[in-house]
Amino acid sequence: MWTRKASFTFAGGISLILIGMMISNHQMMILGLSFVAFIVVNSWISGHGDVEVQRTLSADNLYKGDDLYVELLVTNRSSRRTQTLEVYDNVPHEMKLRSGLNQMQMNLGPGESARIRYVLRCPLRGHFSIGPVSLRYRNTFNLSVEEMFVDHHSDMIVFPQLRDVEEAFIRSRTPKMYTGATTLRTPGPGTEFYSLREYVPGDPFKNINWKAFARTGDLMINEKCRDAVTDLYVILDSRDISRIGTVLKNPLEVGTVAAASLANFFLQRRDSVSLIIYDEKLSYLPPDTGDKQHFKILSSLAGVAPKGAMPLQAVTNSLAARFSRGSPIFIISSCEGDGTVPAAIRDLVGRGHEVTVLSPSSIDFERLVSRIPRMSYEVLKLERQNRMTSLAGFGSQVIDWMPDMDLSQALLQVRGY
Amino acid sequence: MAVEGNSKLKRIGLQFAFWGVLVILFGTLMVNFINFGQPNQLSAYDDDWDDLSAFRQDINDMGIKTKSLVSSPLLLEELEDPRNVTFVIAGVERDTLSLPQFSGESIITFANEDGYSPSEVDAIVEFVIKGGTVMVFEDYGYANTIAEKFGVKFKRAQLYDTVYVHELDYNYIWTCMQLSPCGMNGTVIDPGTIESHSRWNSSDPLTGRHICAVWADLMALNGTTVSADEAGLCAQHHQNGVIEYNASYQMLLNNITAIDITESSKHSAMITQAIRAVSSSEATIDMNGDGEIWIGSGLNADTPDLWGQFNLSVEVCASVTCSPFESGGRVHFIADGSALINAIYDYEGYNEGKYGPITKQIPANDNRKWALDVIAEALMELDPATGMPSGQPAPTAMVIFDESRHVQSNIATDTYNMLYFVLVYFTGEGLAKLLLFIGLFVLFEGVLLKKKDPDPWRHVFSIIYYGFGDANRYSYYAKSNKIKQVFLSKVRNQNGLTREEFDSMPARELQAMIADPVLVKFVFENRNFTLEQTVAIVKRIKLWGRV
Amino acid sequence: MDAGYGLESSVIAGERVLGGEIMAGDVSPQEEGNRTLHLRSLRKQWQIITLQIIATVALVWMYMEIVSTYVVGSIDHTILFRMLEEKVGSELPVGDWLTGLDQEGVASYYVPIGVGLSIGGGMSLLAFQPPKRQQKIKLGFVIGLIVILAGRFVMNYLWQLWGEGWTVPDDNALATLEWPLLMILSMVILMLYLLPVIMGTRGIWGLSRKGVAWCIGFVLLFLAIHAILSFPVVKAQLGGYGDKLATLDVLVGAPTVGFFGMNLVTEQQFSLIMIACLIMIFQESAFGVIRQLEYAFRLPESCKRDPEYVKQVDNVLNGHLRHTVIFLTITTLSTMVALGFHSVLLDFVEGVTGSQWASQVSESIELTLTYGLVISALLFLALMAILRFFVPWQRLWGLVESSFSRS
Repeated sequence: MWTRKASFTFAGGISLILIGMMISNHQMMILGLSFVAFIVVNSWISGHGDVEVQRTLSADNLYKGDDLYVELLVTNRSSRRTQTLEVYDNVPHEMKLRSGLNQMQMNLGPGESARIRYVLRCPLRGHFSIGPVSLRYRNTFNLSVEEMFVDHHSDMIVFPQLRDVEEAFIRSRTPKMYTGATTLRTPGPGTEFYSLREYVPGDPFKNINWKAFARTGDLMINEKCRDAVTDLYVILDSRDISRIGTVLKNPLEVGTVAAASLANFFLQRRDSVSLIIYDEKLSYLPPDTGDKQHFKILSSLAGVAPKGAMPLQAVTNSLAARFSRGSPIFIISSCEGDGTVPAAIRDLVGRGHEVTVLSPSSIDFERLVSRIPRMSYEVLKLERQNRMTSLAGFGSQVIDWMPDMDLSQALLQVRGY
Repeated sequence: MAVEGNSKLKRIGLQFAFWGVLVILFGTLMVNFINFGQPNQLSAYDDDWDDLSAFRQDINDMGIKTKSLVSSPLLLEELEDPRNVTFVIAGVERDTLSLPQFSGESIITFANEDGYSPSEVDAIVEFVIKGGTVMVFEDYGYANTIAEKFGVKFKRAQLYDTVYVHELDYNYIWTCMQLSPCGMNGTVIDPGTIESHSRWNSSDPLTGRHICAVWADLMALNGTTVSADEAGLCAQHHQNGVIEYNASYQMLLNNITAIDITESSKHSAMITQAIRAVSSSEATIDMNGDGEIWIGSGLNADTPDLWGQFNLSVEVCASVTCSPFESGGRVHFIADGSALINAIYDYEGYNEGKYGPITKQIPANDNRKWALDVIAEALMELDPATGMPSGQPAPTAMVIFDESRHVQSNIATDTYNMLYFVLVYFTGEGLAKLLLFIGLFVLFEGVLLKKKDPDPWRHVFSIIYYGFGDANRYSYYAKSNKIKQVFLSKVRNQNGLTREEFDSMPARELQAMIADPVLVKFVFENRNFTLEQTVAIVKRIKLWGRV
Repeated sequence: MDAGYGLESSVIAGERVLGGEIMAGDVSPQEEGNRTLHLRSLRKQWQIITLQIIATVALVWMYMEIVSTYVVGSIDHTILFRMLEEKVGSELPVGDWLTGLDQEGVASYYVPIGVGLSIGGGMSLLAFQPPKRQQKIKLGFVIGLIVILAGRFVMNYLWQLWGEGWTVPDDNALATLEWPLLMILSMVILMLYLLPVIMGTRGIWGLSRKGVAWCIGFVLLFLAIHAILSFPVVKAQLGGYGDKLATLDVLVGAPTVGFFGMNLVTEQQFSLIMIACLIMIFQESAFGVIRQLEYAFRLPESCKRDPEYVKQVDNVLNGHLRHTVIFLTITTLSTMVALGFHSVLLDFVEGVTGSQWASQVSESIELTLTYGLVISALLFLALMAILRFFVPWQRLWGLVESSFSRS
């Protein structure tokens, strides 16, 4: 494609030729001809974007606020020069370029390579994709430009940050109810030794006690004690109303941090954690343990976006039956704009669950972005206070989480009767 | 996606329609100037019976360069030595692109006639003023734009005369280049009616005596003889070692018209208009072209045709005597576009079948002699020292054939000539130059406005986030009723009552529960509170219930 | 803590190929090399200097061509200076050796061009000084001029006032103004003539786009004004002044300049071609330098030190240098061939027989006039443009280059 300069040069050349003919001036005609000749000669050269692109990331899952190191290796596999090529690695606009540059102007000979290195910082959680790689061939004299791209993407997930909440649970005023995995004196899946028994076909080979075999000559199996774990349910409110606040400080953002931190804490203790997210629909991740479950939870939390207006009672009505008896439930919600919250909590408490409501104060988040008149603010706060009190009255533990409060600090404020 | 697809189709459709209409309009315009399916004729570069190749060959044989003009007579302004150039226009078969022109008398003039644009006509006039010679052979074509500038006009209707070739048909008319018409004696020309050319036979070179005669006189004076090779431009008069100039011309014309003399648009530099050939007094002109002759005392719907004596050749000069020894050129108008076609010009070759099979023989005529004599007068070299003719062509002598108004043999050649014409026209004609300037300006503006270079790449860190709540509710929360409602909810929660219990509670009990006279008043009195009062109440509500 | 896997994926010409897993920490940070792309070191790089020298040579050469074609003997500064000396009745304060009055023809421009280059170079050097120093120098220059202009006059007048009291300045005092005024006028006239050289040098060595643009603008403006003034209708109006204006021949003469034994263009046409092509060489070299330095300047600090970036800037500069030399040479040669093409076309067309159109065109008068010259030149350029589709010369050159790099 011709650039503006080429268009002007060509149009100018033709004009000079015509005007030169009009006024019989050889200089103008020759000037015009040389402009046209210049364009023609330059049309012989063309670059190409036939390059191989290889992108390496330092990690494809990372936490919010972490740095990501990216290296892009561009190799010219063809037998001709690329000519002046601008290579631009498309980076999501939500990411900040910390050092280096995601573009380079290069002129690669046949077989030659170039590396582009840069560091990104990801201030937002979410699913992101780096790429495609845009290429722009530009003529040496800026007479033509050709754009191409290599459709190569690198996906990555930015998880919400994890906060350390262990201290909060240790220092909690309420009796310890979350004991993590405890051992029951019955044989079953677990880690602690229970007894030796004879091998029966179907037993996994890894459980064979070889010392006993060497001693007795019979195949013996190490039987383990069954671990008893707690199923923890985390219900996260991702309705549209939870977006109120700044980009980094709003009920949903702090809620995801809380959910991730809680899940991490309990999974480390080998408890089963389930994650339920309700926005315009209901997403249910059944309880499970281990790193895989941890990854699933973090991935889900990374992709959460505020939308919809599903009431909490609809969630509890559809899922309460699946909850293990007596299992603790964490509800992370601002409790705004949902009149069904008290009924839902009453229902859950009635079923014997330990319900903790971790409620980011949406009024205070709203105050970060809007100028709320003082009196209205006080009344809104009063109303919220009433709401919290009524929830506490149904038997749940309610935490009124202010924007400037740390998570562990908030968890220490568990309110009882 | 469906919406996007529809809009894309619509866009393609619109573009297609736009370009299609433009091509059709352009094609319609071009059809006016590029003739399809019409026979190509009267070209000096083709050798059919109806072309002029024999004439051109004779000129080349005399040692004179021939050139063709395929674009526009505007190029005549570029010639360095018009005095030694002859411009031949044989049949103006085609219209021209002609823009309005700025003129001295009015602001803008529009071309009335077709054929040549006003600036082209002006170029030809300038050429003649500078000493050039023009030969215009025309009958029913578009030559009147030139003719009128020289004070003549072609009738463009067929003339029939009693002096015609009986062996052929009434379309073939005999005419003699003399002031009185020649007559018939039975089926042949009466020799008694043949006279001499009115100018070329004069005795004085300064009054227009033909240059070959002058040269012959000079050689006779010197007692010099010339061989056939040395005869040069007067070879057609060479006999027995001398130039024996004969000023009588019996010309054969075919499908002719008549020429009128008119003063209306004549250029002031054209001093002399001389009639050189006339029809008999019994000639008729079929003015309405219906193939019938209806004549009467006046011209009306019943008798639309003309009869009488009409001019068949007129010479217009930019000098008094038309003599080549005077400055200023001349134009020869002949009322027949095909006077010099191979069939008539080279009648011997034609009769031998040189130009294809023949049905009838063309009789001997003096068309060739006359044409070569015109060339000789126009292009003979004059000795710079003595001013006398040398018999040979001038070193810069040139004959230019106007091929720009001839139908070409195929569309490609027509297009080529058309493109050249457009180029010459738009760089030569006044208003066209202005249009070209404007066009170039618009082109530059278009490039400036539409052509954008791609933006340089730059990573921009931007997070656009809208997390505003509903600001409309703030005023609602400042209302007394709402504050009251919130306070009552607080009272109910504090005391662990259900809604039903609370609603059924007597007022006195509620008052006792509240236990704050200000707040009791606030709850039970239905009146407006000032801002300060409301603020105070809210503060009290905040503190209420705290131990 | 992170999930731990750095995944490498590669794409070959659009086809997706997934590589194996590589542990995190594979990506090394940007390195630092010995050479950097900071302006102070990049400006001294040989490619940049070469381009700047090419631009300067082209500028001077173009100026000389224009001067020899249009100015010398017609409207040159020596005529103006002599007229001034005649009017004033004394020699100008600026030496003849400086103004070129002691030389004839083009030689009278040698020293002034040197002066122009020096002034342009001085202005470029000034542009790179810190703002405060620039201000001081400019101020010093202006004050110096004022002192030169009015210094002696003030001293004289003060002495007069001291001796005679309050009186108007006498002739002696006023006479002291003559020399400085004449000197300044001479310098202004000289600077006016040398404006393209000064602005061009300022643009090249001072890395100023504006300077280059002004230089080209002045040159084109001069050519345009000259074209208008030499138009016969306008020239006739100028009377005696019009006669002194140098004009170009209208019709084409016999070619005498060419290469490989082919005579393609006349001397005058060659001069005009050189002017046109040198304008382009000057422009492209100067703008190319500025563009590349600007790109390097805008890089972040870490990239300026990164050997990858340094290497690629080297590649780009080498490519630019190659293209400037090769392409502009080819452009010059192509223009020459294009102008000489009409005779080739004439010979070719004359040899074509058999068709009416061919013989008509072969004898057409358009071909002998300027129209034919231009049309055949454009035809040649069109053929050149089409040739790229038939000659895969880039691939061939690439094969040659890759064989060199392999060996």
